[in-house]
Amino acid sequence: MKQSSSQRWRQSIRRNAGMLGQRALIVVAALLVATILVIICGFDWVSVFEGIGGAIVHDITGTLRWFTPLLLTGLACAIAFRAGIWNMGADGQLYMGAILATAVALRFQTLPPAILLPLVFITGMLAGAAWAAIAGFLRIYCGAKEVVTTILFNYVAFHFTDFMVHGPLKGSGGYALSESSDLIPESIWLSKIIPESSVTTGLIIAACLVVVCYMLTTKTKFGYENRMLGTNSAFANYGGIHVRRTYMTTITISGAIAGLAGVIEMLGVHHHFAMRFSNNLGFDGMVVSILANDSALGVPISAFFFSILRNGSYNIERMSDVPRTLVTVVQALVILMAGSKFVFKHTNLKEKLAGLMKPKAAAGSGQGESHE
Amino acid sequence: MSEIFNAELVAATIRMTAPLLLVALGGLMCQRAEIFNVGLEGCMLSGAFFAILFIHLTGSSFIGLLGGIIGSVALSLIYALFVIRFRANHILTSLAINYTATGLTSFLLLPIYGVRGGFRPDNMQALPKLHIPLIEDIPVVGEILSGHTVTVYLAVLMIFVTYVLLFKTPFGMLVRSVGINENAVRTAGVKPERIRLLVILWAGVLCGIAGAHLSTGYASEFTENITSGRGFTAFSAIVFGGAHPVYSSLACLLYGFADAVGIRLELSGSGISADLLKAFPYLLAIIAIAVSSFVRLKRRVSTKELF
Repeated sequence: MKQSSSQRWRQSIRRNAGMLGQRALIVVAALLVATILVIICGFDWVSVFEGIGGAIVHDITGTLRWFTPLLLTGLACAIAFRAGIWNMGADGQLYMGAILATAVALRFQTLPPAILLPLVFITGMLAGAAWAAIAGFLRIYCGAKEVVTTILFNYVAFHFTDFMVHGPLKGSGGYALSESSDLIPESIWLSKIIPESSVTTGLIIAACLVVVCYMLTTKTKFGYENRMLGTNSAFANYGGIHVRRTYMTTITISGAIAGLAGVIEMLGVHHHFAMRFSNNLGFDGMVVSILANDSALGVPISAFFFSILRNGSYNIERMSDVPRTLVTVVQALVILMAGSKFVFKHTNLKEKLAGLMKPKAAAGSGQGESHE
Repeated sequence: MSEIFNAELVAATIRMTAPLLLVALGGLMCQRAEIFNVGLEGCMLSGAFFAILFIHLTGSSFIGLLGGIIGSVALSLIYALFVIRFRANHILTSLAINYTATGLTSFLLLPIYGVRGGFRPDNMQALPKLHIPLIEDIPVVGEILSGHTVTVYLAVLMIFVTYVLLFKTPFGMLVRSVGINENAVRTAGVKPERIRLLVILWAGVLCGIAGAHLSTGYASEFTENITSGRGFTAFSAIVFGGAHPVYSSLACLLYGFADAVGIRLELSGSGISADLLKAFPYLLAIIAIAVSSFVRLKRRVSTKELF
């Protein structure tokens, strides 16, 4: 029987609401454990929540500043993860995107902004895409696991960008001392959408990309192939999906988005390439994606939560002595709980209770018989 | 050139290789049992932290070593619980283990020691260095082979132990069988879960020793993220060496050598960029993994599909 579209909608809403509730539970549990840790260590837990609350109430622009890159790296990871591709290299791809974008912006600063800006964006995305595609290539043609190689590619990217800011792109004046490149021409800085903040048009680009990724993953043939690859690659292969092509496309898109994150960070916030500026944005993108269950629509919610935490962590350190790395502990707890799907999927509470009752009931009746 | 390539370089290579070796030898047992343990990095970090904590409490370096093992095994237990009992994804759990270690070791510095960033106990007692009586007196060889921390000799010893354990004992055969055909092992009446648990804990012990070596033998203090990706490097050595104790150890030696040469070249102030040199071992690892995977792929392409 064919479902009516309203039925389908209702079903999808119910499913998504269930997922949302489950993820909210994970977040609450993680925060609870972290709070207990804070109390055990003798810190003032109220100030921790004041700090996190302040990130929304007083300093929403600061939260939105982190929201943009986390949204992008989260999307980059989500696209790869849902195809079962462990792209751990978002950080490296972000750096490669940012460094080449900076190089182009500095080299061709005489070009009119209308040409330079797209050029910078395209360079950054291509660089990220290429960096990821090498790992993809090695997986497909050599069988080298991407989960290992992308991590190693991160380190290569870190040291390569270090080399660039120490050598070819070394800034002059004050920027030479601070281990960074020169400022890029002001004409291509992303304009601020909220005055006196670091919230730029990059946020709009990221938001558009969420919609694009949502359409791409749910409404297109590629999205289906991408998902099949993640669910059961052998079946996907058997079913006639061009596995290698899907694999390459996916990891390239993932790298391009990570590269874009680097470009937007550079053009919108830093305006120059500062050595090691990312501060784990790529790895945090993985956590964002994991909490979002690799869904393009879930990523914004999850990214918003983590940007509150990230912004709040700076507040916490300013307002109390609680170390900022508390957030890392929360992230670890989230991954641990969200990653073990088994806990939620297969241990249906009702079934488990029924399972607990059964042997007891059997034992009880057995006892009853022996008494009689 | 002679100020770079001398006996001291060989000794430095051995020092650099030792922690990688321990981690790789532990990790390759996991790899053999089809457990994808990238959480080695976190276990090592936890080991380094607890080694310093126990030295701070007791003042004895050997209890510190024991503390390192305890700290590392505790994390391994969590890993084992989630991977074996809850059937959680290996990579995600590893990631969580690494995050836990990074977060907790950095967070706990303040409530325990009242410092941020790093800690060096006042009663710091480094792990003892072993001076081998006769060999010590031979000019060049003595400099290379003698005077290392005990953990270095332990690491070398572990190559043989792992080899024997893996290939010459019933337990080793079970480990390898679990990796090849889990159900065959189950049919034979052995629980694969139990083998896997033991293997994960064994890796935890070795990572703990490696971490303790880093903080009490190599650096004599704990600093945030003291492992700096060594766990990942060791993991790549496992893949490079095809999870074989001898080949993986050789891979570790290669990384240790590249590390030692890099530091030396940086200090000597030659024209070569230190940043590019630091990237070199990782590039080498990628190439090595690609080549070795390619060879293995060609060899078994008929039995195992790529996807």
